[in-house]
Amino acid sequence: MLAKQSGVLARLWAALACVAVLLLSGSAHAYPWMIRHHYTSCSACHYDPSGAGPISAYGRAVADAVIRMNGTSEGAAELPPSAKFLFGAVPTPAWLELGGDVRVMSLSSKTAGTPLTNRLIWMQLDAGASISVSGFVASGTLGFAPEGALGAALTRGTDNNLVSRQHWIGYQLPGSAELMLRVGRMNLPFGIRNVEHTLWAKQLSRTSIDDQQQYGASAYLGVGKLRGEVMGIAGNLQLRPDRYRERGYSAYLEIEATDGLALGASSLITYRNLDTVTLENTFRHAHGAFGRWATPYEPLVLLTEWDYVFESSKGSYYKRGLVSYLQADWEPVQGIHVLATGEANKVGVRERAWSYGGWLSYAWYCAPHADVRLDGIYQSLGSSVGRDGVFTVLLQGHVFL
Amino acid sequence: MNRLSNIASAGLLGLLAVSLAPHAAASTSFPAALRSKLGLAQVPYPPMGCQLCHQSDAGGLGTATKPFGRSLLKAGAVGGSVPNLLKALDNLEADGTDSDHDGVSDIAELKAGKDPNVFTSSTGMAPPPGEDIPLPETGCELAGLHGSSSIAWALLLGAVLSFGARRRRSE
Repeated sequence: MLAKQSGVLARLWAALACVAVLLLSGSAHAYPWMIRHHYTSCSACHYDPSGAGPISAYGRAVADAVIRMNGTSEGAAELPPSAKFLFGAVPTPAWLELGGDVRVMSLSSKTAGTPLTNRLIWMQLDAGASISVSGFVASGTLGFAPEGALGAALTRGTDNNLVSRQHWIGYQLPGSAELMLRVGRMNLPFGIRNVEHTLWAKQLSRTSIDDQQQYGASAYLGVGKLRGEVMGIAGNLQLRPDRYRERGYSAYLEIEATDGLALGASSLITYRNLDTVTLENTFRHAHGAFGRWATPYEPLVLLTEWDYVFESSKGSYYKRGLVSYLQADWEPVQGIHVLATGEANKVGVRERAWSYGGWLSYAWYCAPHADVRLDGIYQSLGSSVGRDGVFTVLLQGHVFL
Repeated sequence: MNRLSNIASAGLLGLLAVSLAPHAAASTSFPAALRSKLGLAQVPYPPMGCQLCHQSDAGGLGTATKPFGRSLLKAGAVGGSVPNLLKALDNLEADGTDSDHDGVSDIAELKAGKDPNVFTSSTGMAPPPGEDIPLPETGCELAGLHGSSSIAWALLLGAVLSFGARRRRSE
């Protein structure tokens, strides 16, 4: 009897392990400054053709060669063990890519007139897998979130949840153009996809890669110097009841205007019966332009995004305004990045005032599968009754499998 | 340049190690700012005061679902922005917003030491029926598991252990 029970348990755990392994994925990179290395498109390295999330074997090789300090020589005939999943300790077939991310952050923040707050945040404890067979692609992540990321929660707690930020299947159509159709939970195709998900441009347009993915169907097209994606949004099925789910579209189109200069435009319109804040039916718009420029001075890349956001809830004041940022990424030595970012927004209800923010960041891709980052952020938050300053220091460590 | 970079990077790693020591959690900025703005001796729901807007003292984005919290958000409050909170309070006062529909404005109730989320009638008036709107919930439709932290841990741990065991067996 005991032997039978242990057999059942073994099979149960084996099934769980299969689920876990299937959902182990590549790392959550999103580095738009890769345009420095002539990667204007993201699909060469990422399973998601618009970038961010699980990376392919080729993406691993590129990351190992040109992102980390003292990287392997680019164009090496074989992927070095240092670039492989778990340093090559667990071989995987060519059609399967496994990975995972652990990202922890220390946050210290001081708002004028209020006490200093310190927090330790486990930003990412994610694993996942991507499968690619004969044009069919499937990718997904599974993780644990001690706090936050409620938009990606699978379990129903207010904290300590299992989360899945993305899970989708797709088909890469054969042909000269790069055409990929996908369904599932995906990042919204909008603007520049970067890791700084707390930038106002990402938060106010609600298009960050943290937990603001939506379910839907998308079509990605890359042809010549053009690339773009349009997604029909069916809502976040991990939010209940249905009346709170947003429906609409999100899209971007980017063109490589000249060598090293990419310019694009984005648009998003959604509607939902009940806004989670106002409890009223709400239309939400975000429309904007963005650009990436690998300057003639090779270590310097400039990124910028400008969006106009507008929300109208029945019975409430309009929330509207402009939000933008400009980021300079300077890589004096391979693997070391100094970033200066300025951001601004005038988004609010009724009488609005400009808010300004400045980031000074240092990111060090110190070793295979590891990087650390320090951010100092000062934000001057405006309102019609005055202005307050907030100073924040973020220190992050990131390890990926 | 490389040497300098290495020294700076080593320093950063050391700083990271030190910073990973346990920290206190949660911000207390908003209740303090509200108390200061309205000149209150105390904010309802002491000692933290977070439950004036949030469902629990843990706070967090998307959890300010109490009537007064929703009114603040509609009036322009934004998570983490004290100036926007102050401006939203100005808007509530100017509009005479009454979140619990008891005939007394939210700001007047707070200044009187009362809870603007709770209908209190001084005239025997009954609370308005209102529409019973379900609060938003997160999590998979299939989960159906409330308070799932232990289950989440067990699933992950089990999967990892099983995977490890199978690897060892296969070697």
